Amino acid sequence: MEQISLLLDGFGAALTPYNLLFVLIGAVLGTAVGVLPGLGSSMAVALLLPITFALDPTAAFIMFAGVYFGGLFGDSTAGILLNTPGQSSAIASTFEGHRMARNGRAAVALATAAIGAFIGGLISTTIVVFFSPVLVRMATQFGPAEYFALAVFAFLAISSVVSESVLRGIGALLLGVALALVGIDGPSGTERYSFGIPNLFDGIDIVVVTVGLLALGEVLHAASRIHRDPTSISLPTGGIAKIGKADFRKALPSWLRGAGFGAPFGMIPAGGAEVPTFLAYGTEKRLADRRKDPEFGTSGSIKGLAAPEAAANATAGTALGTLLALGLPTSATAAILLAAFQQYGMQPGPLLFQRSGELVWTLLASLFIGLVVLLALNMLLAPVWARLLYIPQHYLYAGITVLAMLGVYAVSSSYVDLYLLIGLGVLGFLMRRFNMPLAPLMIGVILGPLAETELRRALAVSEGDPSILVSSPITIGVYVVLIGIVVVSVIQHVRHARADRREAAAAA
Amino acid sequence: MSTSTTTPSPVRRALRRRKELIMVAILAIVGLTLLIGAQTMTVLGDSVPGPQFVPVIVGVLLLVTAVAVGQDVIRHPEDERAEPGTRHDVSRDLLQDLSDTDTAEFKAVGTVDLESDGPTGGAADGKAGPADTEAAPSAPVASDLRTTGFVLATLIGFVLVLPWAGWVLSGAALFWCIARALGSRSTWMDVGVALLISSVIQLIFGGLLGLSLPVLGGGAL
Repeated sequence: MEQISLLLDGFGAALTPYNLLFVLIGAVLGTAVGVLPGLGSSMAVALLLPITFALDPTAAFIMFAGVYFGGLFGDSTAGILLNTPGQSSAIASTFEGHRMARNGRAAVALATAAIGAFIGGLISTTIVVFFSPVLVRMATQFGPAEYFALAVFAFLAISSVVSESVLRGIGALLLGVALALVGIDGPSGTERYSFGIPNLFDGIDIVVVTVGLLALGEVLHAASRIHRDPTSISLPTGGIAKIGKADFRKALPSWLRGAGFGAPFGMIPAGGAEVPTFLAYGTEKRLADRRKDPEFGTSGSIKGLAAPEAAANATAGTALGTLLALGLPTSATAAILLAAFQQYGMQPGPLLFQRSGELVWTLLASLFIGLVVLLALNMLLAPVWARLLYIPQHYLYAGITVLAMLGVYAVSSSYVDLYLLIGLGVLGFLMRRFNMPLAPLMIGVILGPLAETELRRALAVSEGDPSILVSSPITIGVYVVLIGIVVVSVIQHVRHARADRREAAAAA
Repeated sequence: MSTSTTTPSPVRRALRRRKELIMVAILAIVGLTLLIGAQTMTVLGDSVPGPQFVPVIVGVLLLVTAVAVGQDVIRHPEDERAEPGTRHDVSRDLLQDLSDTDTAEFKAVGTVDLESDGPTGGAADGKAGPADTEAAPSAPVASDLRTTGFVLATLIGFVLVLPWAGWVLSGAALFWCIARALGSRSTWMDVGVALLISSVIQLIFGGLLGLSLPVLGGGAL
């Protein structure tokens, strides 16, 4: 069990005042962006990315991981109290959580969510510690064809799962891949799509893409609807989050079940926490039906909240593990973290464990520390976080805009990049406006170059024979599973479209 | 949305319901750019497959997707599809199947309702929640283009002014304009907050982290 000694070394390195400070900053920032509707951890990491260059990579990644986990701690707060989930990963928790709050059990609901997030994160991080060497060993068997298959899998799985319309998901993905083609082609040195602009020779900086689409796009989108849905909020009063013994015992099996759903999904590029949280919620719902649980769907069931919360954080842990060991991002936030690694000149994957082993184990150890910090912050300070919801929206968005401009200027000191940023912000606005998902675009931009390199490498080895792409059991397995997912997802969309039409016909 | 006094021509009305064709145009333009660029590229080296290989594939796929999305948009105009509470980043169909929730329940999330406290009924059977009754197809479709345009102009103005006015002033102006556009009405308080934020950033990033931000009267880069 060499992992344990490595992890202990990691704890030794993480428990310095300097690193602990960044654990704390990450946890606070993450919870804050999680609580505030409209901001997400992916946007937060994107905005932080350029302004953390002055830090050493370990501190930066400790902070990013804190933001990723913290976002999933905080996102249920607004969902429970106001019925407006902070991120889409908290929709499933909102169903029962908000019902509990409406029936005067807001404090219990907040505690259930926080402990659920803690348990989910704890279980999945532990899995990563023991499982990552296996993943690393597996990854060393991968050649170009295998990596290309994984990238295609990530592309299509995300496009079909995350989007309301598979077509629009694929459109977004292709736009992302196209953006990544700009710049000088590595293997041949050919200049591609830079239109003679020297700033584009190195390609469009990933910081510009993420900040433009996620941050400025959101600001423009908010501007387009700010006068349309005026909401004045009034929060239900409630003390600190607390939970009794009876409730704890009731929720415990659901927390564990939720973590069980979440952990495997972190390793599958299916867009993050949405699918497992809904799977966990659905399971609790079916169990409640069988048990004739009267609380479910009426006064709010603690089980229906506990399971999705644990599931959400369980995906974050294993998603980080998969990113570190395979270099494969399974969610939009993980994709931006991958970009962060590349900014620091590191490539996640088997080599990372060899070359930067110290960083990896310090990061994993600080995840455990971060979870404890987050649990404490969310249990003791729940009312303080809820107060964030009183921050006027216009200050929030003005602040995001200023940070976005600052960040991009900080990376390149280039005015061309600032115009590019605005252009991408408009693209992000249009995509939001017309229901085109952003996650596939992120994955496309970040995995596109990898997919291209591996595809060309594989074809060069086989001298142009495409059958090399499906020549190993691993690649065949990946494609078979992928076809299964796409077929199921298409059938689902067709069935729902038909049902909707029948409903419309009946109503008319 | 189309409550203008003069009745617009049928063509314009049809287009107005299909603004999503902008997205189709973007997909098609990017696709064409990739294909044209691949033809006109000065290719270095003789690697097979070369640097045009992937752009051609992506370009063709983009055009195919553009045609398919275009067909969908023309057949189903926006106001037929749009529903309140639609989220662009999740597949409602899939998530509903996974979780056994029905449409109304799903849509109710995201609507701030603290007063409607009635018995919310069972999960699957008929219910008329607040989300259903106002399911008129207008709410999410219309967007406030004037505010968006103002924000966009502010952003461009900021980039133009930044090299001359320096970070503190132009950053504060940016903050102030965005806050104003998004509905703030306390002019002088905003000025204070804006100056505070841009100065703090100048101190932290310019002073502590050594980032060279533009200064007043600095001129172009």
